[in-house]
Amino acid sequence: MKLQRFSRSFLALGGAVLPAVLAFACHTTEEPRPGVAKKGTASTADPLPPPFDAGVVPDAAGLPEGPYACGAPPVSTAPFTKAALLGATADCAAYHLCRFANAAHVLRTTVDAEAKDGTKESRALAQLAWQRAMDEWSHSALFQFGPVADKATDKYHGRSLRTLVHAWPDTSRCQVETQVVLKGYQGGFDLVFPSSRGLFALEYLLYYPGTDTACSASSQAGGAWASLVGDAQTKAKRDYAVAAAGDLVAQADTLRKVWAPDGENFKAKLLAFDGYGNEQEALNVVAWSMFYVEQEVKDLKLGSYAGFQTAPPNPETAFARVDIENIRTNLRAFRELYAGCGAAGEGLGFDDWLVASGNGALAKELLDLYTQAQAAADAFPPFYQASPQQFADLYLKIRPLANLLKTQLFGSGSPLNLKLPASAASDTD
Amino acid sequence: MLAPVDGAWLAVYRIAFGLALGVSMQRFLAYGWVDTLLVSPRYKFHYWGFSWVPCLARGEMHALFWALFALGLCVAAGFLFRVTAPLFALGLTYIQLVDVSTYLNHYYLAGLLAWLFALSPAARVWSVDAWLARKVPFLRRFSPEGPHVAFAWHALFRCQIGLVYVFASLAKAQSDWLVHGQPLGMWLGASTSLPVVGKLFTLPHVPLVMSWCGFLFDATIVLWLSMARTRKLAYLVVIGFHVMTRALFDIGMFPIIMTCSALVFFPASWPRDVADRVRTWLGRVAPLRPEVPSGAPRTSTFRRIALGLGVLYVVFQVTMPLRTFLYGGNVLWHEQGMRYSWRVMVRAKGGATTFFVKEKATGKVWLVSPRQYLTAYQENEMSGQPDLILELAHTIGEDYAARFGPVEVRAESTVSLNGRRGAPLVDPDVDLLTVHDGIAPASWILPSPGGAPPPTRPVL
Repeated sequence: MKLQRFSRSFLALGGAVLPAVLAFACHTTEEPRPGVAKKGTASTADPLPPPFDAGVVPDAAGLPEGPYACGAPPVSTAPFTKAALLGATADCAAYHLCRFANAAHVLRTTVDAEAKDGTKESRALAQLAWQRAMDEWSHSALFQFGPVADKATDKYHGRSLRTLVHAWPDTSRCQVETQVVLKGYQGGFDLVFPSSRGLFALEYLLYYPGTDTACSASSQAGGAWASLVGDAQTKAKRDYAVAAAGDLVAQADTLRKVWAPDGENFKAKLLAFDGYGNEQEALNVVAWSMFYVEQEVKDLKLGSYAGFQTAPPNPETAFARVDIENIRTNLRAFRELYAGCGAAGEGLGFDDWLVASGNGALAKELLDLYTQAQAAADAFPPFYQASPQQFADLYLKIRPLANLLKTQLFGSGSPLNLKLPASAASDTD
Repeated sequence: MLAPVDGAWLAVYRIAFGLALGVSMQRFLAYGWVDTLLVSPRYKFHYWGFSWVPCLARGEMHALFWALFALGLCVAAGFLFRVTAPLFALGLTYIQLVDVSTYLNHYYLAGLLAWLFALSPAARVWSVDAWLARKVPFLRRFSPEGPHVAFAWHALFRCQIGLVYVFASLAKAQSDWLVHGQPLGMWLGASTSLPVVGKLFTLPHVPLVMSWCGFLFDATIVLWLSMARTRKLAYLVVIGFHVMTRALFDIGMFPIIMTCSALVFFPASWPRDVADRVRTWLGRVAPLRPEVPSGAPRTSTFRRIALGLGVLYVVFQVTMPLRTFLYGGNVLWHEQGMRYSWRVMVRAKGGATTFFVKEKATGKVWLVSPRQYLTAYQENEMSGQPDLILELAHTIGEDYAARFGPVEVRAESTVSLNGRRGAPLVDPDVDLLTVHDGIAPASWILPSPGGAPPPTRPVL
């Protein structure tokens, strides 16, 4: 009996102390991303906290319109040719970047309003605008060719504009807080690291309610943070949010102009294989975007949560917790590139190329695997409610699609002769 | 075999080979392949028995390629040939030993030819060494004996080049190539934007016709080049064939090396014949040709041993490509006996491999993507080559065993051959840590998928 009583007392004590310890740990971690375990720990066993929100339901009708008329999704009805496919993918990329530019403008408007009045309602509206911008970016993020792409992805035209919008997985909360407290951004965003700007910075600033810092106390930012308390900290965060939103608009407008006929008109360059050397190489680079599903979605966004990888999870939206929404959109964007830009995959895509070259069965198999992956993602709960087994199941639904891409759509065995990234320029046999 | 013949053919071949390989070294530097293929990959696949070969640091590797470029020029010029040619061959061999995944048939050929040149008297004619020997009496004691070489060298180079063509044709004597026009049908699809000929590739049966042309070319070109009546026309065909392959495929210097190499089928003094014709055309008098020594060729124990080694070399080169028949099955699938066999451009393989690492103590399973160890290029190469899968499985096993204790490693490897639907290449139920690489038939490699490859039409 004594032993039982002792056990109950111990459990009760543990139940009281454990949350306090966890809360303390959460506030003293170097990089306290919710749900992120330190290296070497079994992260998937840890429950993820829900997202931080403003506590009120925003009125979506309160969101203003963006400045650009992007129209309906461009659906090409032209018969398949490689040139038509390049044109269709260019139109689709341009369409989504136009929509993202609109969303960025709306986000800036709402962030400005929130900075002025500071109400829960305006905060909630800004959060809603951020979610829309994130969703639009999750579409655009898949179209990794041309100036938006990194140099490693598109060695011909890549200018890494992507990282200025959303640098994930290379983001840093401490770097954002450094900007908040030291205000380096006031000297211009050219000196601000990508890891501390764009959608990640705004997510932190709009969603994270804590007053702690991820920077070490011995750092310059960490030391300054200690003296930034109360309203001064709130104002400093809002000031950086306004500046970051302005920078995001500038990047979004730059991206839109890349494709605009009255801007850089990158579509014309793509159609002329300008810089790519030949049509096949241009198609290679465009097609590599489909690997986003394998590398970013399967491995980076899901692999660690599924418990299949030893690296700790690095959530894409650590504060807003819309990771699964992003994955759903990433998969839809995959379909737009693979099958066509229409809402249901209408239009020209790489599946039409497969069909034209006599590989209709492969085209259907890829689409079927995509449909399975999309259905699994659509049925998936928010990350913070999902179990490791559910993560594993989703991972294993996306894996066959990624494997088929590598086995039959790309590489030495590709019926379309699509080469794998980084192997395009080497000799053979 | 030991009868002397004019060494002019070997001199021209040496010059062309040295220049071509020098350019090849420059291509590696200019395109960044030194870094992407040899330096950047943090994991290197090793040849069986050569795991001791170290990889140089980036600066050293770049310096090596510059050195090989310079050595290539020295070989071409015939400068300090007895030193520069072996060093050049050694360097080429080292580059190939760094990482198996970079193996290409034409790199292998270049290595073999480099060693043959290094051992041959290729600097006797039209070389800096020969010029210096004429100018500096002291150097004559080190100089070659004259502008002639034993016919055995001519025969040896002819054998080497002939075997490449013959075995390349044998590799094409299978249904994928001759009945289904694959993988050429898949590859031609990348070239439909070529001016004039691009549209032709989209016509029905063109890939099949071209497959047959390629097969017949490889199978018979040695014969046509060997006969005096057809030699010149055959050589024009050689030029046309290799120009086309260079335009259609990323095969680097291979077409140039083979175009130069095919000249070995001409008579030994063909360069002087061409020079004489040019001089006659210009109205000049042709110089006297060096006299070919008459009488029985000089023989010695050394020469007889050298001749015997040459015969052994040829026997080795004939048997190596044939070894795959001891394994049975489809060599394009299981790859046992694939390397060093001149099976050039006959298989298109794509694959996806995932390693399953199971902790023996807990049963916990990790999925390991090859990308954690390999570059995309290496991953693609590994996925179609079972011995490379096995090697990486052992490396992964060592890594995980060091962290989690005893483990098992299995591989799920799905591979598509010549456009066929993907099929498992290695047995997913076999713990690859219990298997060791060797020359015995590999029971852990699954049989190749049957059936015809799907028809692929190149499109515009």
